[in-house]
Amino acid sequence: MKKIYTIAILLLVLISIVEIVYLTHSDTLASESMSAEKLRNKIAEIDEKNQILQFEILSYSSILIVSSRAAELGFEKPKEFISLKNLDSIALKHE
Amino acid sequence: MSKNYKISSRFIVIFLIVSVFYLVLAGKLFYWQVVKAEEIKEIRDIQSTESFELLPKRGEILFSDNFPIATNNINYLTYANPKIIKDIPKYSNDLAGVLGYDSASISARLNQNLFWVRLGVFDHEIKKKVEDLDLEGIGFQIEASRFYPEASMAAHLVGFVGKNNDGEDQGYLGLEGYYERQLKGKPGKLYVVKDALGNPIVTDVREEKKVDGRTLLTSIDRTVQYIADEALKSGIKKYGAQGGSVIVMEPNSGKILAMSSAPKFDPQKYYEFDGDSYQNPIISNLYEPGSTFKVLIMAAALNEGLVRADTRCNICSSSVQMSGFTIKTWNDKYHPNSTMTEVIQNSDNTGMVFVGQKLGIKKMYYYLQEYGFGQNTGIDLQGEVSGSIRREAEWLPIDLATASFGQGISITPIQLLTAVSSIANGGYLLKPTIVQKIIDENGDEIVIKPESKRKVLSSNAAEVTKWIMVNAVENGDSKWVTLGDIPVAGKTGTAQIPVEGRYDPNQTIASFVGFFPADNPKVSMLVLVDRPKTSIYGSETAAPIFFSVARDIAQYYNIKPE
Repeated sequence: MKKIYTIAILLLVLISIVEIVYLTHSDTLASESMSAEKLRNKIAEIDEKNQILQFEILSYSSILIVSSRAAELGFEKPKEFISLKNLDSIALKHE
Repeated sequence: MSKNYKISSRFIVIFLIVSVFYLVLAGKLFYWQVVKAEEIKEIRDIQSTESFELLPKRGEILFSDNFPIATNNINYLTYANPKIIKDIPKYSNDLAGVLGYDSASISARLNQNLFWVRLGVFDHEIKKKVEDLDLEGIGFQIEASRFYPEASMAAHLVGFVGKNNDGEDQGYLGLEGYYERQLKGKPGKLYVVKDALGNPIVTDVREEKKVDGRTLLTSIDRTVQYIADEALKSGIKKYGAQGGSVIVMEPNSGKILAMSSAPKFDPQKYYEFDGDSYQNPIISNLYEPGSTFKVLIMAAALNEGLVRADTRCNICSSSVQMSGFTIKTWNDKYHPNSTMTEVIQNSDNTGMVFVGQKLGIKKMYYYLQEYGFGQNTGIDLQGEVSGSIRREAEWLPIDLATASFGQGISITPIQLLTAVSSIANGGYLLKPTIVQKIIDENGDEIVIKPESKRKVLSSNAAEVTKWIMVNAVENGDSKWVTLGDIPVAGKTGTAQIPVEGRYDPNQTIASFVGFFPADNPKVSMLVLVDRPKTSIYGSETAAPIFFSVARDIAQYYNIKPE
């Protein structure tokens, strides 16, 4: 009878352990789910900020904006231009 | 049996109760999870599974320097719940100051007996101002939108993104339309199972992956596009024209470097413009090319060995009578015994009738097809038209005569530039292209290589025609515009516009087509000016625009005389 008594106790202990592990696991999953949700929201938030920043960068670096800003600062199109036909250094000839 | 090991009846009872409890529990679990599994799963899916559509990002369209012609931006659909607003007049006043609406119209919306009222779609700056008002019952929903950082620059080239019949985004015309399937990507779905409190269960997340649209890297050079846009804009203003176009191409590869047309539309606010303005005249409008066409017919006759540069015209001393029509030169001045070089230099219609007659209808028809007229060039833009050439059997001698100087035949600007580029590149008809690479979200690339359709002219015929064109620029009616020491091959054109069956002498499409440097062509270009008022001639309108753009391009690419 001692044997049956021991087995019964062990069985109950075992079932209790399984229940505890199960509950712990469920709790961990729930916590991780909440963390995952927070991360997902954070990614969406950063993505949104990135798009707004990209929009601002592109708006400021548009050639239309840059050229009008350059004109405001007094830059003009050159009246004439010269091309160097070879790679001789002009400075070296004056040494 | 000792007392210590004797199982008491109390123990047995408790043990049995606990065991029965677990057995019932296990049985119940077995019943729900095995016997009723499918049924429960269906109920669970309905009650606790939430699915989200994962929208793909539309692919970007890039200039050759990787700066976007078209990219994506976010806007905010802004809405309010009138049921929880206490003081609607004050609320409306506050919003009106930020949204730019009058408060009465906002108030009218908020006085509806609804839980959800749309206030409009706004950018992030306005959204922030609305948030700062700290109003109750207001919310935002992110909406993706297309963004064109260079605004209407290259608008006809890029097209626009509108809504189709199902309310979905769809690209129309230009690159947005042509590459719609590549750009739009494929939506995905995210299925999330939630627990009793509404929190997602991390192990029960299922995802059908979305595929973002592919990125298009084009050959459009942002600086050259800007140069062409600015020159065209100031030219149209200066010459009082109704519109115009500039196309810049690499004659050795067929790559388009710039494509500009006016009047323009704003692809961001396409709905504010007339539908006709969406058409890209460079690929969609047919026109009579006039004298710019002469170089192609001359090249064909040279290729056939029917004339040489020094062959003399024996019908150029006066106007030519044919089928009851009188064919004159553009200024009614005649140059007896002109050489073929002089025929192009003087843009002599009678000289071209001489060339046309040498060529004959059969060869004329053959070369028109060889040059690609009446066929799509295959450029990667939506909306290209081909025009048509009448069948060989339908040609009359007068048709042959007028076609030889570019009248009575309708072509698109892109067809003309592609054909003239064959003179620049040694005789090859190339397929014009804009997209050079298609790049997917993993960075894998599809490279689009230059494609030669056929060899139309021998190298020798192309070379001789090229120097005839250089002579035309240096000694012809546009000799006052030059590019310094850089030789330019070109030809002016002044095509009258047919109106109700007759040509209107005061309404012309003035044009200039050419390439430079002539000894090693790097750039070919066509300029069209639609109905200029200050002068009807290509030499006085289109040619100055051509040389203005050419000068800036030469400077930008550091093109120098050989």
